[in-house]
Amino acid sequence: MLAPAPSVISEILDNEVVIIDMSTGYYFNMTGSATNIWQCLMDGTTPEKICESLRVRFGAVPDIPAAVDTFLEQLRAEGLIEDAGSEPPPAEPVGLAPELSQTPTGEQFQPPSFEKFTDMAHILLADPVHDADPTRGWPSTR
Amino acid sequence: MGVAKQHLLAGALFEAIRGRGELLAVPDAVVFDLARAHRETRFENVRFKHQLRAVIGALNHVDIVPLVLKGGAFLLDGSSGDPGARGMYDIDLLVRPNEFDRSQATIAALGYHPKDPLHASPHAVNFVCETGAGGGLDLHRDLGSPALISVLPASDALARSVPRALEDLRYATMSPTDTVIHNVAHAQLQTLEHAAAAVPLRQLHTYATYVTQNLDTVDWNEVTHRFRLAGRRPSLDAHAELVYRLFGIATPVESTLRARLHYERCMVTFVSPVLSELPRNLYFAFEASYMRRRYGSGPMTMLRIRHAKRLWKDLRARVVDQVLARHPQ
Repeated sequence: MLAPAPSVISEILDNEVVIIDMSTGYYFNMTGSATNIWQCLMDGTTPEKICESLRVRFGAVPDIPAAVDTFLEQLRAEGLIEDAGSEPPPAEPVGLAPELSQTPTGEQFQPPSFEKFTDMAHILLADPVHDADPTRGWPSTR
Repeated sequence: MGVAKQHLLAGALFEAIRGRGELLAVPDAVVFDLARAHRETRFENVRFKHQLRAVIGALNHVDIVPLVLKGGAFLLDGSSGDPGARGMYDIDLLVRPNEFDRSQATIAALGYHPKDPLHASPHAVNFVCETGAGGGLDLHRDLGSPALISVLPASDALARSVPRALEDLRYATMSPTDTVIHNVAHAQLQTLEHAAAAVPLRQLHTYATYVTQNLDTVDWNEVTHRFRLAGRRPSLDAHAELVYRLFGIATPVESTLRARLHYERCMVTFVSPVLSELPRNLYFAFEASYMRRRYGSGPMTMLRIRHAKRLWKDLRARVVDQVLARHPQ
């Protein structure tokens, strides 16, 4: 079973996910089907279940398994996910509302991708009270 | 852009331009800068929210349900929209007097350290987190300065607070009416913005956003009554006038001649901030409770003279250092 790494914090917004790796200060922004995949991962899941959830949402798109595999490899390489023990007991497709689990929603499948920003690590080390630039203000630092 | 950044609103500016579909009309370098500020604010706020969850969870574990104030409350309930829009400096929590010591111990056990007591505020313990793990956290025993408390005491805010839950976490937020009262009192009275005719842009933006969403759930009679009773009605009128003139959001608070004149004065200090910052900094530099913490007991006039001598000595030393640095020979 796969799950977010312990050093990772994330926030699911309307159509995107913001992910921060607290061990490096790297910031990731995910959109499109990456958002659905991350929602599944938040509850702990397997690649097969992720593919199944995406099929339910987007229909039988042939690209889904390869896209998911590649994406999970990328997440693993970035240290954002890790193996989290055995599989959970069977349940509804993870991360989808019951009404969405029946038929495709008509949305078009977009291959998952993310943007990575490495220029914010300094925020982890800065103090908003004492290190803020007096003219430009926080988060600009002295 | 400089003003937006200074007031932690660069993210909001980015969202406003993007929301209107006008990003292409803005130079690339500006869009890049604003997008980066938006991202940095998101980064900070996602971390603050994570931090809040951990602190609230620990307090819940010892049967304390904190009242989350200001930006932290908006982050948890999502009412400030995208976390990239509104920046914040720290987390503010209020607990009941009989829970204060236990709360302090619980927060310290999470790895927070109280800030230098000399510069601590009398109404809260200011904690700092281990570098990297999060921002500052203020644990309040009261809501602020005597002027703020005269409008909204902590006991009233706690008694009228709204219980909330986020997954398995229990916390409370101020009622919509108290949220407005606190926003105005904090912006205009706590940091002397009204007296100094300064423009607390971020708090004005917060008021505009909150009132737009909650206009009908706020008891405006109670809001005006509280400020009138405390003899602070002009600060409420001035705040509402500023919001109306700068953000176009009207509220049931009437527009008075005095508020309109205050707005004109604010526009002057906005262009020349020294006009508002100098008197305010002097006030805080010689503020009574700070004098007592720094120098102990004694007649206040003597303490202030002693402090003025010290400041003068420091200033003179700094000037000499600068001159020597420029002319080492």
